[in-house]
Amino acid sequence: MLRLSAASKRFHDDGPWVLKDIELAIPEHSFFCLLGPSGCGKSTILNMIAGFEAANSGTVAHRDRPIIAPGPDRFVIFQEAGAALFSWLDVRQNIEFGMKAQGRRRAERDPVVDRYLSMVGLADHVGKFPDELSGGMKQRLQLARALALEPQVLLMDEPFGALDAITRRRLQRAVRDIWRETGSTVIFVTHDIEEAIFLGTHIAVMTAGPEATIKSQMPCRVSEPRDPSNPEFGSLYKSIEELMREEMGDE
Amino acid sequence: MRTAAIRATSLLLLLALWETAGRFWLDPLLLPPPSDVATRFRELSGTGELWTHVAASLGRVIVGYAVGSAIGIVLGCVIGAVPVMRDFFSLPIRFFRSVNPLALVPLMILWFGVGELSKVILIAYLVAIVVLYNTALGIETIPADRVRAGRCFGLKGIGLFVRVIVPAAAPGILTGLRLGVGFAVLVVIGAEMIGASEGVGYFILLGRQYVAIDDIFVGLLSLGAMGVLLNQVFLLVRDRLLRRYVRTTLYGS
Ligand SMILES: Nc1ncnc2c1ncn2[C@@H]1O[C@H](COP(=O)(O)OP(=O)(O)OP(=O)(O)O)[C@@H](O)[C@H]1O
Ligand SMILES: [Mg+2]
Repeated sequence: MLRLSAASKRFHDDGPWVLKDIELAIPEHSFFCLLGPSGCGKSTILNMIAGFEAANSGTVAHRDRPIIAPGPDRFVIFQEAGAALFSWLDVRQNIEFGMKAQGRRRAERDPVVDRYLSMVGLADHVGKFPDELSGGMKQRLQLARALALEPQVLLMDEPFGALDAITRRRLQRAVRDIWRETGSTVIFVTHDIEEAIFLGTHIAVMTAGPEATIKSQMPCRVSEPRDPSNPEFGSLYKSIEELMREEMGDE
Repeated sequence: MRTAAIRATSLLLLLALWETAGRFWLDPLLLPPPSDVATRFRELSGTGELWTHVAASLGRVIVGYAVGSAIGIVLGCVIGAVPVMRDFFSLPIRFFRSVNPLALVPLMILWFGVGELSKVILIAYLVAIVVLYNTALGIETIPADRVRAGRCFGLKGIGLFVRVIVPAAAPGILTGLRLGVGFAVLVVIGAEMIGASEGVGYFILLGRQYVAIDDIFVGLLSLGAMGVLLNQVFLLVRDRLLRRYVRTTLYGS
């Protein structure tokens, strides 16, 4: 369980509270989608879970241990893969990086690298550098290098926001398959209700900031196929859309 | 191939223009045509006189550059990575960047004598300033998510610094090192003109005293050649050994 209790955050001592008394309980192995209007504090929540930012009050804990720093049990897939990948390492070396930093030996590393290379479909591109990859391939690489550490929690901040619709759909499928296969917990921030319903086992909607909180939290148990042709999909979509509309005003 | 052709054409045109100007329009005593300069060059290099001077300058440049880059990289890393140091050094750096190093030559000679030391220190000083400035800038401009990714891998402190920050700042460091090559060649001449008994700068000054204009031209050409050569060596090393670190600057990001 990953838990935020009464977690509040502001960036300046007498600035406005960005987040106020956030209560979130994210079960192990869930695919937890976080929706909310722009600027409400979704990335801030993710950064607190990652350990990049500390809450001013309240607690953020993973398996009952307070989160005080980043660590390889929680790995972030950043939105801008180009900035987050290591440009001086090729595909293979990027994936290998974490294990090398942990001092694991080559014989131990190679099978893991190969496994995740093929899991994300980059096996034919091992020698390429990040600048030689397309946007979708860069995101796959980010995913693979995170997976190679077998983190318990994957934190994804609108990872497919910058991709075209087809690539995006393909990567959503890939992420869902990987999540099923690895059994990790995924916390997935998105703007896109459809994406949340397609991927999630749980969906939380936030209120608009400042002093943003969790407005509503629901399980997402839509049967397959999870697409608009399915009436269950449609009705969940409508109710979430309604929640979002209340927060966004009439724009 | 095309670039090479254009560069060769530019060189030939320049030489042709110079030859015509020196031979037909201007007093060859003031602007000796390239053919005369080439003759003088052969004489001077035949006796070995030119090489003594070139070797002296080159030696100073190399030693000063090596010392200056080492100091510059270390200081630049400290300044770029430690916020307190950045604030502490920002004013002094701006101050020293605006003091022309040639203005320091008299001081250097008073402090360190007319020997090798004052010249090497002057070169090292200038190179260190350029390198540390670009190193610090290179570190400051690393995308925040790249460092955060490193921290996700469990790295911190020295490990994070060595495995992520330094390689990520390499484009900035290498820009500083490349600029440093040019500056070293620029400043060595100034130092040699004020107090030296050998070196290309001294040789050019001698040319002025004896009104040996073709000697001056031979000196100038050796200087330019030295700069181009050192720059080529730098690029060769960078592109052979360090290419992976400058991919984003070479190919756009
Ligand atoms: N480092 C910071 N310093 C000051 N204010 C910040 C900082 N980071 C975020 N904020 C503020 O906190 C609020 C929430 O920001 P955050 O990036 O978490 O929103 P978000 O929900 O991720 O938005 P988006 O959907 O547009 O990505 C915003 O008002 C933002 O201006
Ligand atoms: Mg955000």
